[in-house]
Amino acid sequence: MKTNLKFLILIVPLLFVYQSVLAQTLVKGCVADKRTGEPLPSVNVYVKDSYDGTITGPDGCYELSVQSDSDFILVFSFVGYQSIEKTVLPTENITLDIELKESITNLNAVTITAGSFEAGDKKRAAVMDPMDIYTTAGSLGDIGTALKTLPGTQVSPDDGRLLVRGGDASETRVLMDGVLAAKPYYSKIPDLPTRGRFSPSLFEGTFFSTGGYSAEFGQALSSVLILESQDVAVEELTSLSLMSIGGELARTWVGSNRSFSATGGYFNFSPYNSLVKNHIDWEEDVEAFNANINYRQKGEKGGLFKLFASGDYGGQSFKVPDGSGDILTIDETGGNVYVNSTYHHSLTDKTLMKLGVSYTYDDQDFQAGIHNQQTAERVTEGKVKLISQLENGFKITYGGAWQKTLFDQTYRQTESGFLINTNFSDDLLSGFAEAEWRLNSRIAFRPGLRFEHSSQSDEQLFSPRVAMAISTGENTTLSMAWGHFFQSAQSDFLKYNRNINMQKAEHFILGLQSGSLATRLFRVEAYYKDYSKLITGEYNDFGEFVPFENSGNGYAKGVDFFYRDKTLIKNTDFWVSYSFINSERKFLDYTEKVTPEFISPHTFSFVAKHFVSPIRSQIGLTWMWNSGRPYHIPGDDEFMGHTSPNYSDLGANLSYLTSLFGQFTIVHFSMSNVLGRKNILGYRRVALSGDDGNASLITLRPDVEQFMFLGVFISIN
Amino acid sequence: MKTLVILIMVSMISYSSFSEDFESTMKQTITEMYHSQNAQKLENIAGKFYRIGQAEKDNWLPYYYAAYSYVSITYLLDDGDAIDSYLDKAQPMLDKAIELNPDESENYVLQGLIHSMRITNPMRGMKYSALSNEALEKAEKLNPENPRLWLCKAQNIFYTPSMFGGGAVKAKPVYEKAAELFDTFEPSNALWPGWGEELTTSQLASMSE
Repeated sequence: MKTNLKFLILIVPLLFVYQSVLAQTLVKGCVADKRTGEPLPSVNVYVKDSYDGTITGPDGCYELSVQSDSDFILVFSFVGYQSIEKTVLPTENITLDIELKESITNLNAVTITAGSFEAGDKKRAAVMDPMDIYTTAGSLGDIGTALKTLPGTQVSPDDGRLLVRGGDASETRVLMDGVLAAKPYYSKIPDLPTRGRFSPSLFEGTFFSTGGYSAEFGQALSSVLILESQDVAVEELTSLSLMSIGGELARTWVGSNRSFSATGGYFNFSPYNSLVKNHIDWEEDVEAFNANINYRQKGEKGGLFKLFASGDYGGQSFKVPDGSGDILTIDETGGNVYVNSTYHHSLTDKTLMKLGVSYTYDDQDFQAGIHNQQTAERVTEGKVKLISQLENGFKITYGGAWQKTLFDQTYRQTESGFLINTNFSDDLLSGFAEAEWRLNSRIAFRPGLRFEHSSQSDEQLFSPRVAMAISTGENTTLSMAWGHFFQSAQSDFLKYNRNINMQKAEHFILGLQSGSLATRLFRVEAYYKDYSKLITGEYNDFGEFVPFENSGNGYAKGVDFFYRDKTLIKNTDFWVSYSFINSERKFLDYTEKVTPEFISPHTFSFVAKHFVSPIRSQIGLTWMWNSGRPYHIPGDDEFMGHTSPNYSDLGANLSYLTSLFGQFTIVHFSMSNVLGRKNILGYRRVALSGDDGNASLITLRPDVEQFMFLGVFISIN
Repeated sequence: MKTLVILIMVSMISYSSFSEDFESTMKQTITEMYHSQNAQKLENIAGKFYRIGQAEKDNWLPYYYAAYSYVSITYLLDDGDAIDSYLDKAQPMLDKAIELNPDESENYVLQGLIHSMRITNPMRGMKYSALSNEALEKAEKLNPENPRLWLCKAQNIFYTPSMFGGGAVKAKPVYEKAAELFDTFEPSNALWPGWGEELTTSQLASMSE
């Protein structure tokens, strides 16, 4: 023992001596991004399992002296990049230049942007923030209206729904958390704009595709809009909204890993209508009740359960000219119930399962003069989706859905008692598989295939889809998309003729996006769309469309531009959209292939938001302009030979952040058509008694020339 | 036998020298960090904490300090995008610290601080103040006696405009509570986070003026 201790006394100084004579190696070099060749500053360069190291300077270069007699391993590590290890032999001086490769899972990976507009917080392809939907002047908190400031959409102030790249309003499908929302808008009354059913505060992200979308989505010829609902709430909150047209009260309760909220609202336009000049002759003003509940629960390993249920009931009644000099009273009441529930669960480390169900029940009672129509529609969808990350850079998504539609309508003539009932049901089965393959962080390739079977039309259809993106420089992406898209006839058509097949569209898209949402972003996209098997037929005595066959066709081609800048002017964020479209189709009762009446060849919009810090206010301006739309005067030799005047609307809003009774409050004032321009949107032809010679034109004007909205939104913690 | 003893001895010596090295290196780097007012220097220090973390493998403190070093840089900046870019570096470091020690109150205080630092414009206020308060609540559950927790709470109140329920008057008693706890706070070890006392004192001093 004694000897051992002695030995120890001997060895300890030896160790120190040993260390002090270690050889010194000077390593230096520069670190760059493998793809761009740009120098990478702040990369950690260190000797493995030791504290020795340094970081690269602003020029991406480093210098490190290491004391070691044997080989050592040098690690180069940087957030978002794959680390590199190099074995270094102890010599005097060596130069080691390193190129680091981006990790593909990283946010920097190229994203396929063809056709799609995202509003999200951290998404690369995002062109809008979730807040934009609230703060865009003229949108009045309506998701669809805010999206109309993006290119590829028509202004269509007499509709309110989304009309995308030559498609009519029925060609856009709306989904909540990936599952169908069959009636996303309040019921549409001819010539009056409708609004979305869902408040933007329910959602934290929006994905709006103007074409070329994934094989996961079908039954839409033109566009899909996917609303992503909020996750588990983190803060207990009561909020009260008082508006010139009604009020809403909401309350959120928070538990551990779960939250529940309930909202109730009442809207009545009568005080408003009595104050503002309005060209509609109201019998009973718009009045509506709505309520919704929301439950979210987090599970283990990223599991998430969501349940949303909403209901509303309302009605309105007004008088319109019927075209023949008489006055027609229109009376409409209706109710709607919507339930949406989803569940996400990780099956394995690499596979995520998403289950979803939705149920829509819509009931409408519509009276126009002596005609009464009662419609009940029930749509249910169940969907399974699996996402498997097979290896870094290769992902497959697959799944299937079943959609059942039940339609029942009774038409009655109030005087004669004449009555017809029509009803039908359709089972639509679909399946899809899609791969997303990232060769490296520069190239992404997404081939997919979709299958659809409709029991109504007894068709089995396959739609192939392909999309790809190539990153051509820092923050610059070139995207392409191609695909086949099918859509069944709408229920209103199918009730007259069950032998109608699905309509088809083929999309070709080529786009370029450069920059980022945080600073400035530019996007240009060209597309060509080929429509075939469009539905043709004629209007019957009640002004309803009766389809005969799928012999129509058409095309739409155009270019969309988008530019957004947050840095050019201090505290100001603005964007500019311009769309050019050339589209013709032969469908419905068209006698020739012409530009349809809902298409304006040129559409321009400008949105600006300026934050004034000293008065804690945001001022917003939105200008929307479109060139005239075609219309037809019955009896003319040339079909759709006339063009309506151009449309222009300048809207302004002001949001003021303040407090009321010590609670966070936003006062919002918004006004449309500030300049008081008398817009004519177009003309609608009305065939009386089905006789072309005995028809007339109705001038379409905005229902309210200038809309003013005042709202006070209080959040109580 | 002899060789075995030597081997054990040598390994013990190198181990103890290693762990002493950890303590002294950490102490020295922590002191350096508290005294740095320069972004490049703080970035170097964050890099060093990260290296220590990588070498030690299972200690949360180096990653905690790496995150705090990046947060310190944001105190020197005005530009919202630049602040975001450093907070984006701080977050993965803190995630690592939380992964290694998920029940440590200090980690959630720092998380709360990172969220509040993201409020670079009033439009972000609603979202990030809710996230910050959520993290601070978690920190309070784990250790209600943590003085930094009360300092961060006080700061959140202080920088909320008085019309939204914030302001100096409401923040003052919370600062006082933080000051009281700083007086009695016993760090668990020599490397324990120690920031915040000075700021508490100076904030209280500026209020009594």
